[in-house]
Amino acid sequence: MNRLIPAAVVASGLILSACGSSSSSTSAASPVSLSIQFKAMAGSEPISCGETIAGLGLAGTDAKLADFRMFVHDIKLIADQNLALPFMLDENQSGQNADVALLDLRDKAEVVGDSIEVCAEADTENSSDNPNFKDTVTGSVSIDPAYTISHIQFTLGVPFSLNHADQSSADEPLRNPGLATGMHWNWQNGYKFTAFDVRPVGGVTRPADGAWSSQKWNLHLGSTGCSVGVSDLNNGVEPEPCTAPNRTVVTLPLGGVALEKIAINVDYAALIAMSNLAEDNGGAPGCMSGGTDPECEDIFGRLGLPWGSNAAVEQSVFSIVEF
Amino acid sequence: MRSKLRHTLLLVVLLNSVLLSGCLPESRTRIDDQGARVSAFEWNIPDSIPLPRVPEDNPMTEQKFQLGRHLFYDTRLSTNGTVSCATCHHQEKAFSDGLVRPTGATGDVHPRNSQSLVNIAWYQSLTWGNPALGAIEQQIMLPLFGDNPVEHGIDEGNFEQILRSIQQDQRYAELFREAYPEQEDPLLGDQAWDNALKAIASFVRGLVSFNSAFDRAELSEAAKRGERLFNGERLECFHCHAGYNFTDATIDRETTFAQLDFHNTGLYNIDGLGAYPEPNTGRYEVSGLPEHMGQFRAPSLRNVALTAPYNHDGSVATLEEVIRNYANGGRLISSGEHSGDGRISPLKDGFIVSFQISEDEINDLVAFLESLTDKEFISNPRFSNPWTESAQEIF
Repeated sequence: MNRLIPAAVVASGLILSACGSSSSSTSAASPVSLSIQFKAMAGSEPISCGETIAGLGLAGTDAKLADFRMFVHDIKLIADQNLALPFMLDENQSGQNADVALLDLRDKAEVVGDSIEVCAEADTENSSDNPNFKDTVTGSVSIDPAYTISHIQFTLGVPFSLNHADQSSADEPLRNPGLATGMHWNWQNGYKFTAFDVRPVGGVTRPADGAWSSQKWNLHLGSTGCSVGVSDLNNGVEPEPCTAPNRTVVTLPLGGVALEKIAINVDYAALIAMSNLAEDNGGAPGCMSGGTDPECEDIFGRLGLPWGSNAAVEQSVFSIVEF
Repeated sequence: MRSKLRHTLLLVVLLNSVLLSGCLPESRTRIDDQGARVSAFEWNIPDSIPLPRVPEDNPMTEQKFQLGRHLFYDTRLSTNGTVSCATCHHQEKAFSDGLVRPTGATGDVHPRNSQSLVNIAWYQSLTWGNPALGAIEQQIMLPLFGDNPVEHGIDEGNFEQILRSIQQDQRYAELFREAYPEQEDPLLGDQAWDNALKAIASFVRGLVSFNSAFDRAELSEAAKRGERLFNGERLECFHCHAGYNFTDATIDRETTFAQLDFHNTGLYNIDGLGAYPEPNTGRYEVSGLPEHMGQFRAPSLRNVALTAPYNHDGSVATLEEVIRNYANGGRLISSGEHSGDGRISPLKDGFIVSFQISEDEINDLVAFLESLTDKEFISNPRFSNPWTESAQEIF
């Protein structure tokens, strides 16, 4: 694997170029190619596999990255006329189809023989680039030059219509086994919308249960309270929505940053700012979206999702930065 | 002409479906397109048993069944070559494993007891507590690819390597070709995985058991007395363990109205409000609705004498003990971390009422449950490990 490729992707940042239009065109809106890069960060520091991230969360825990993947869909640019301009994903790019993209921000993998461990705990001489690394969604938007773009919007997760279908015959990036392996939501019969997992140094323990331990503190966001089965879909039955869809719509103001200079930070430190990564007080280790998982309440608020009787508040994880 | 007839039939089916669902908006009406008695696959079931439903995109064939049988018994389908489906599903135990709770390839202990695989083609809902899992094709993704707990431990780091080991086996080259003759290369890339999963689903869907002493009407006197107790209003067993598959979670090609039932049997009551210990909270774990706490799907009782220990977490050792729990109207746990009186759980199913039963009657009821054991099922070479030398001579 060529180490230069991710570097080139990073360097290219957000590329905005007009295409398919000519000076004689009478249409005001013209399709514009657009790439949007996502960056795995802890505060102002990029996070990378094999490297210790210092001072995370309430207890200032040091941790190493284990997983950093997320699905996004329904990407839009918002113009100041309050118009939503749909971002059409390029279905020919790997890791995305017309409906959904799987961002894989794990930069490294350990390759031994013909087996591969993506984002292994320690760097070794076998360390190389993660072949499925994907930090950029690519597509096009029709933009009328008269508009001023004020926001970028996207939804975290897999669209409902695709979330409960058969995975072994699904189109990439939803196929399992395939790009979606590891994103299979083996509990609620769908996909993990996020796998933001870390290995805290010293592990995770439970104050109330000395026998319990976990190597990882996980954040698996996904829909819960789902009763639709694949067998129902096969039989043409309309699925009932899940009681907690947990799809957060993120709207980010450009804040004066020019479109061609923006990237989107995913700030893990902000996400778990009020969580203790050395501890777990019940449910799955970390937060796996269970309705009574004590670690989820604060996390859901930070993602802009409602939790129990808590109304949704503004998310505090994603932000636009100047590239 | 044939195709026109088929289209007409399909139209009638569609119309029926529309009409019926119009009358019963809450129902899950589905009419199968093949009729209730027609199948290309030899199910080996009595005429009295309706055919099970089969997904349209995975029709049963003998060739897929045989490919699936090889994959079911193949430990290469795991992260370290130690675990196959058969690791937790032994034919001689009606495809259960005799353990309280099983251990996965990397040492994770599963929170629930391994279920038997008996007539699962007729299950409306496949697992102990998830009402969303009605398709075998989807369910088998969990043990193979699940990470909480790890069972087979197939993951993104090893699935291509595992596929290569399958592709390099000449026996599979032939089995895949026979199972998917319409495909140019059924072992190619991720299509191979889809093919493999559909074949495993076909094998377990074909594990049918309808040849017990009960089916042959060869009950002992004790078993006959037990049958009367089973079907009587004093014990109420038959409400949840209903019909030809001894579970109310049964669906077939003749089913027009199927209700999804899960039951709290008063096994735990750790907080006085009916709570079950984490993580085995049953349907509640999936739905999040408080009234679903402790509700589990009633397992079929076919071959139940072979599948000890019992209940969703293997916490009940014998059938006699299961019956005594029901006789008490729930289970009292007087000490330990799960202590609580399930007999007074407010979430208990209405059919879990206490009843008087003598030791002789318990023995009769057990004799009836033992009459549901199908000795042909647990020794049938069709269901056995094809990788052993003796089995290779058969096929």
